[in-house]
Amino acid sequence: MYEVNSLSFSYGKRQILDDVKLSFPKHKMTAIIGPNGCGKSTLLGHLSQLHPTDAITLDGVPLQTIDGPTFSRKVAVLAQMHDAMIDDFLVKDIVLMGRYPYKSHFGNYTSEDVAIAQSYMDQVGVSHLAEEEMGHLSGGERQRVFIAKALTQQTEVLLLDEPTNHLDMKYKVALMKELQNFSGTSIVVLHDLNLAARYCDHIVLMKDGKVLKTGAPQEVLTPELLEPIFEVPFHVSMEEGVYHLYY
Amino acid sequence: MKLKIVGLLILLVISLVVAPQFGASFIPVWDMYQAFTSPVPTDEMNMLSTIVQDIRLPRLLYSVLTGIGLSLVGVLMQTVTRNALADPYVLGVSSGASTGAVFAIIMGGLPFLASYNVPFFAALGAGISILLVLLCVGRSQSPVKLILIGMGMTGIFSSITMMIIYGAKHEAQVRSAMFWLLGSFAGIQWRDLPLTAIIIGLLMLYMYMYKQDFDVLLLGQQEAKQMGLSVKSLQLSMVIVSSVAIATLVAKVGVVGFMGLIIPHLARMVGGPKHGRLLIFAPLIGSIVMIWADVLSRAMYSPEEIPIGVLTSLLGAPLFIWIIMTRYRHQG
Repeated sequence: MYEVNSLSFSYGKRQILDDVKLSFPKHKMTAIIGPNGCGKSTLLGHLSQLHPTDAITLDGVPLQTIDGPTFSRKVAVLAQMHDAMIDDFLVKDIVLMGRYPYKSHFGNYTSEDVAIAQSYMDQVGVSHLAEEEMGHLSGGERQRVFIAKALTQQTEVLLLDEPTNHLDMKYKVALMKELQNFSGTSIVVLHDLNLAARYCDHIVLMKDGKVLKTGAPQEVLTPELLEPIFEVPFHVSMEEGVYHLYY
Repeated sequence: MKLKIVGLLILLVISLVVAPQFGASFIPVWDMYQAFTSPVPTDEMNMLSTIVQDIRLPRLLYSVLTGIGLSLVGVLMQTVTRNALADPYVLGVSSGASTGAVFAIIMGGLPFLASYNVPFFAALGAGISILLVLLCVGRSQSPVKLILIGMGMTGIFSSITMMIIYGAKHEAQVRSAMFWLLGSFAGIQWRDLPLTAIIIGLLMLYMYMYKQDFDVLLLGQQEAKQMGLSVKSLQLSMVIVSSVAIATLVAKVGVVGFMGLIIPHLARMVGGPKHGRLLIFAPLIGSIVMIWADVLSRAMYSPEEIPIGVLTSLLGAPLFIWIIMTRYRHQG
């Protein structure tokens, strides 16, 4: 699994990540939380090979030595932004692109690829949009399409940068349950602390490019740790075995 | 979808049969048929068959190749820059080629190259401009940087071209340079066809091989990379292949505006955005439109000829505005 060993990163003079040391538990869902600008997305960017570094290994192999095709069969990434040029594409074509890493170099997608893409469209609930153009979808629908595409990649690891953005409550819960059912490892940048508390197995709390605390939700999402970071008062309660945060 | 392809193929065949009728003189299809098939041809028949065979047919086929080439390079440029407003000339290749060609026309070029002076210097100019663009872009993969450097290079070469034209001693040279700059199929001969046909054939093969890679590239640079696509080498190959194709065409027929911008949009409207489909629809539509643009350029003020670039811009610009208004009518 991912091991981060003394990762530092800066844009010019601005230190974004400062000596980050982490390991992500296998087959668990980890949430990376923290205030805006604390380095969450930059850390995820490093995990997704966006920024070259020697400080990260995946299953014991230095991340930088893993070639693109191999990496894309191990790790799927849900990005925050997409180019407008895909607006004319049909939903089913976008989801099918999740099979790109498995396609032979100059070959076409197989009927098996199409069936796999269809199954994940069913799972995420976007099958009824299959023939729609991406440009005609709402922000939430687009997000679900890209989640279906990431799942279609059938990887061991999912990296998701704020996947609940644009989703209403129904789909936020559905997505988090989907990730809970995911048999591999998922690493999610989240702003909603209650979603992190309720659905994630492991939390990474960050501030100013540093990791302040890692552990189970009850160990990390405490008023003592959260109040100085988010600068609002927090209360916690346990109702029917579910951990709740109030602020 | 198949119906659309068959419809366009029929339209292309009709265009190929009907278009050679038009020129300085109108030659009906039946007369052409008789001139080519008569066992005892008259002098007039011989003259007709010579006009059609040696002047109109190579010109017709070159217009088809140009239509295919410009439309496919337009698709490639819009994909590599992820910008729907990009055209085949966005990287400054045509400006470099224009500078080279105008230099050859006005300064005379090299005596031993004779009639090959203009295409040789156009190709040389195109090569220099794309090398400079690649040098300036360096290791960057940013499409915005590529477009902006291409624009800058266009500006530099355009001003050099204007300086050369300004320094011309004879009005005939200026007229000849301007006619070339505005694009024309006049003077195309059979010997011009094989090299261009090979280059356009290779362009089509290249696009067929990488069609799904281009689709993934449209997801965005970062996501495409995370999907396992070798973005940098793909983008470099797209720039080089496009430049070679455009340099080949521009060296022969000059700058034909708007075709490479409009046809990809029309092809997307008819066949959808996937490159596998664009590879079918863009060449079909491109070649049909180019055949008729050339017919119009010859027929409108016959026996005078309007530079084809003027015509494609005149017809293309309103069409482009209509396409944009239609496609983006739901956007604020």
